[in-house]
Amino acid sequence: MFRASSIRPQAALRCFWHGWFIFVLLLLTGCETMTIKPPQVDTVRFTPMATEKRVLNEPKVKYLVRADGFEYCARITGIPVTPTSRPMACAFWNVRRKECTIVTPLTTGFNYLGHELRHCFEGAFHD
Amino acid sequence: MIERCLTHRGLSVDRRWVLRLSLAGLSTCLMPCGHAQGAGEGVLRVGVLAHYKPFSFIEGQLQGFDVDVMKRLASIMKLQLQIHVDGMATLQKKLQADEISVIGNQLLPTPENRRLFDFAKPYASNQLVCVQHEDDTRDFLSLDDLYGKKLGVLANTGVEEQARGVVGKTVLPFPSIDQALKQLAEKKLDAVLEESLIADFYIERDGLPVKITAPFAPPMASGLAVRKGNKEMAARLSAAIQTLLSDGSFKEISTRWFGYDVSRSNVSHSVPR
Repeated sequence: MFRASSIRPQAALRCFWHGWFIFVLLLLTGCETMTIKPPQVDTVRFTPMATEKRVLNEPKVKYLVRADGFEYCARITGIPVTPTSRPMACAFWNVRRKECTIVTPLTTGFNYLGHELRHCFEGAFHD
Repeated sequence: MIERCLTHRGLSVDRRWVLRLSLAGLSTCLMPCGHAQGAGEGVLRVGVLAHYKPFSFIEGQLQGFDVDVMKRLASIMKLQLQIHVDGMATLQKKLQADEISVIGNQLLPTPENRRLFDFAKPYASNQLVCVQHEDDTRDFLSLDDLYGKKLGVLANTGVEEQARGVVGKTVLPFPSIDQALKQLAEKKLDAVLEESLIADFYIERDGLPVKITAPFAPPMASGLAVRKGNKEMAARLSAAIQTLLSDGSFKEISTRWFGYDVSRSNVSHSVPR
């Protein structure tokens, strides 16, 4: 009786930690999948805007890679960082000076960089 | 009523100019002020602030970006424009009393303001930005980046308070932002934080050797306010604003005041979906 009652809580605790480990693993896998999956807007082909209609025709582009990339993009776009979504990259442009800056976190994807580069020419094309 | 919180890493900004201007006692009517209600008699009665540069201000005569927009909107709506210049508190009372039908300055559709007003479609994008000398190639994207730097801000504002909390003693408050921008042009400051439309106005008007660099906050969708429940006026104004934006007249007005079309935001983002 004594042994059984002392083992059961341990087993329950072990079971809990196993369950927690699996949960965290699934969560991380989900995040990674989500991070890798390109946004819908980046999976389709598009016809670039005619040169004369572009917001910036020949922009000077700067690319900043920041440790606080998610947080910065969240701050300037108003898109919050949540467990299920976060801004993966952002861009801002100065029409008068024909300058555009792309910001990403330390790790990014071609789709995010390409998406932001399109903004540098066409402005807010999906808003 | 007119407080604006830009929620991003604790950086909050109030619409201090509106608060300051609400103290303005000037009450002027530029056209004969009758008692006709709203736009019902072919008149569009609009209230604006007196010292809200570049949106509405008096230098010799009443002028401003929002004033020009309202003139064009009245023309599109085929109404005669009647402008009342007053402090915000009085304008609000006049709106409630139907003495004016629109507050013609850009109010923010905060939850508090939405309880008081209905809003027409926004027509200009504005956001808190960093301004640097045009020779400066440093990248300041956050208040942390500005630590130890001489940062000019408008005195007695939420921006000053928040900047002081991070940057500390090197935050320099100015009674008017054009003074800060002039010191920046003389390289006496490292940066200035100001809203993009105000900074663009002074850069365009004074030809200063400074540039807007990085945004520090999300774009603000401010717009024309009508009396709560006056959906018809909000809809009519929104339709007129749509015409204003699509017929090229907004771009002309915007370029005159800011040097480019400010109808769209200058930031965008990628979010996984």
